[in-house]
Amino acid sequence: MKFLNHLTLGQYVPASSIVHSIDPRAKIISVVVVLSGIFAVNRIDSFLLWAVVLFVVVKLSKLPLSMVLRSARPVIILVLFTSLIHLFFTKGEIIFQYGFLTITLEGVMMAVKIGLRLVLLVMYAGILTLTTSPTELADGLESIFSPLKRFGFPAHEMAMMMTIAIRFIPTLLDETDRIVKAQIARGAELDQGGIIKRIRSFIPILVPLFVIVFQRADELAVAMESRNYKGGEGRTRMYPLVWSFKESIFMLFTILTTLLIILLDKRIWL
Amino acid sequence: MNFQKELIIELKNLSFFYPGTKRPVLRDLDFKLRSGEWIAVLGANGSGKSTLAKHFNALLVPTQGACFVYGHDTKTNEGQFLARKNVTLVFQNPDNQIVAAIVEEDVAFGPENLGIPSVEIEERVKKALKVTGLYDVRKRPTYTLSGGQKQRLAVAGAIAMEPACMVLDEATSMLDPKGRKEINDVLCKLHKGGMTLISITHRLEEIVYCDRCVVLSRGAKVWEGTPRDLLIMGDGLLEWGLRVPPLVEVWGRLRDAGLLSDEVLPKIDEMVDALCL
Repeated sequence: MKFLNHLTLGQYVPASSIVHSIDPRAKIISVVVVLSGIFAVNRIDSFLLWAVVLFVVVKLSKLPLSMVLRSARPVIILVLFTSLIHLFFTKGEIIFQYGFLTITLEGVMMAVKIGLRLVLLVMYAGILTLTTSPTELADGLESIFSPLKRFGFPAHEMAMMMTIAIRFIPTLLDETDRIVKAQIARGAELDQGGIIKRIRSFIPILVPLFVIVFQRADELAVAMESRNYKGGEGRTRMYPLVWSFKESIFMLFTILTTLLIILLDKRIWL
Repeated sequence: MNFQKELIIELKNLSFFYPGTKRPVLRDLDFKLRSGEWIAVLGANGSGKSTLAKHFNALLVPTQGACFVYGHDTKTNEGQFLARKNVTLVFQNPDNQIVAAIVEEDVAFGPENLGIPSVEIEERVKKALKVTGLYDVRKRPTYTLSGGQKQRLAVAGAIAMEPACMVLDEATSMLDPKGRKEINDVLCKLHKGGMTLISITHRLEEIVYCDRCVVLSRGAKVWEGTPRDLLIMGDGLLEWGLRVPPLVEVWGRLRDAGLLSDEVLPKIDEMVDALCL
């Protein structure tokens, strides 16, 4: 069951699909383009078009649809909260009134749009992390940001930090779980009392967790050094990033689809 | 001892103090390792064996005396380079030495650092994964592996660097019996293939496959010889803080009773064969 819990964090799911095989740089840039595209449109039918595109990409990636849908779960509270605020506080034609609560037609439209927009954003980003291994993702970012190295931007260090951070998420979740259980076994009451008391009761969890994280970091540094890690200079890659014809076609498709949906949204031809 | 074989590591009067301390962690060690050997370094907790392990690939350098790898002092840049390239370390906790989130990417980490061409890295990774029996899980996220698999991954990462010698620092101590057996099987296979190994351990069960044992006590070498000669000492080992495992004790009693000949080692298969055939 632990395995499933981790998966909802949007972690890489290996598979052999066209989406998996595309160069991470192309995928990262495409996601940025698509996210701008989602921000640029403002009609419900445009959002539905984006949902159709999402569906096609999911099918191509051979991932179960439910897994992609689940990747939006962490933001569901945020979506509900923003939608509700828009539902009740948008001025316009009143369609329902009860006491001080008024719902307007514009409010309903706004709530639906905001909800769709947020969910779509998260799911497109989710497809990126589900189909790209952390190392590929880091390599891609390093390569995209490497022109900035000239100005002293630590592109390689940033990428390596990201890889290690992602690699240690499951390890530290397990560790936290173990500490929580150990503290409960010693009589800690973590879910009792008011909010202040609850926050205070997390100190005995955070302190050992920090100590362990530093110990692990220390050991990892020694292990990396003994495996000859000396920074980005002179490193090679098992799978070097290759930008081929496929990536160019993929980028072209992304840009054309985005432009098309934006043009349809703005009703340019009218 | 075979003197034709190439000398890989040589310690000369090595002593080590952690900065700011007066008591040496390692005292006046002399020691030679030739290619193809499998050596066990034994000692109780605090005997300095992990500190010694870090000298073999220049993570630490001696305070007095010297450590040579292929004839080069590890204090020099040349020596450090040779040591890092030719001697790889596998540590106790597999979780703290896995760098990448995917199995094959982690194996590739070492060779990538060495700046080896991509095609060759792929070959090395494939070979290392096959030797350690991880080829079928090469695309899996590393956190889904069992303890034994994780430690085999650490071994795979070390052998993908194609070192002359691999040092295992208590590499089996955090594993369950199944994981320990998996690692020992891999080590036997590598040793047969000609790899030079140093096992650092406090478990006497694990030394029966080695060619030579070195016992450390409070940072000094107190004994050196074959596993058989060491195990015969029985309770004498307690003095160095080493515990005699049940299997070795049974072996000792059987020998005392005259049921086992001198050649038989405390390996289950050999003992069964000697007693039943």
